[in-house]
Amino acid sequence: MSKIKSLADLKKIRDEKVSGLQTRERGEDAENLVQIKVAMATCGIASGAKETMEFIAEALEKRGVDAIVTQVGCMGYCYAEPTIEVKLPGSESVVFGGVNIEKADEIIEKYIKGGELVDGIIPVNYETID
Amino acid sequence: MKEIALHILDIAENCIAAGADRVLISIFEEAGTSFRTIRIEDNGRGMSEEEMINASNPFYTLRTTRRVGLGLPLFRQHAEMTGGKLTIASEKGTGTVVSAIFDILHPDCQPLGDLEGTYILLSSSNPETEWELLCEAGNESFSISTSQIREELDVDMIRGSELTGALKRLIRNNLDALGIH
Repeated sequence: MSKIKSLADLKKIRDEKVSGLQTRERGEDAENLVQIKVAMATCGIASGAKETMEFIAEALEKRGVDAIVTQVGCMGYCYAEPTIEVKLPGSESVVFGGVNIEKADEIIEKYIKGGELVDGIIPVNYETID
Repeated sequence: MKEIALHILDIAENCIAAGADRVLISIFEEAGTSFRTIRIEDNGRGMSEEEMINASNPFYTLRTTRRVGLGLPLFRQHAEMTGGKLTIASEKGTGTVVSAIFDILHPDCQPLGDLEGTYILLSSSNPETEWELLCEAGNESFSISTSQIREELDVDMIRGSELTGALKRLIRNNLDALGIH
């Protein structure tokens, strides 16, 4: 019935010797990397979180920032989507709201690269201990 | 949600939340018809009958941050707008299949959109899960899986724009060849 093409195509990628396929060395400590979590629930996706995440991953790579960019479920800030949580090594996590591509760019340049906080931070809700 | 690819991304998140370590996303376009079936199957914890009925209710959700769960209801609404439907089959302890049929000739049908972006995002963010994509149009098909990618290209993780770019182009070329858009 069908021609499953992907195997042949994958071999083509391999043969073209795409360099730098494996950029992460094994045993690299996540604690020393910038960790970014992008909320990817229905509200986030509908607000453009996918584009935000793709932009952040590509921009960090281009600008030489070593980071782990991953998606998480709903963080609860549906009114402020897209939201991202940024944890710089040695700092507490910070959640930013309204992170479109322009905002993401600002966060990368000012906060991630410069340590300077920008507008749009969503404060942490402290829970009472019962 | 402006594209079907975003719905797929959304529903696939449910698979992860259900503890699946294998997700199969299939797109079928039957020859001679204008129907496209999107199928998302996982091997997560599954649902009981009652949970299945509740899943389509926008005011039912398992998350604790909000009291609405709009993913499935929105997907169903979009499918039904084109004259199609959405069905859920699930078995507790085995997994779940969400199936949505769209009439692609209907003026209200959304485009499939950036399916390759959705696939790469899911597979790179959830490396513990096996992600499989199968697209069939008539009697031509194309499939790709994360284990295949890892084996053929000898990589551990799907990251880095060179790799993800090449994979996205691969998927897009195959989708174009199948005439799926």
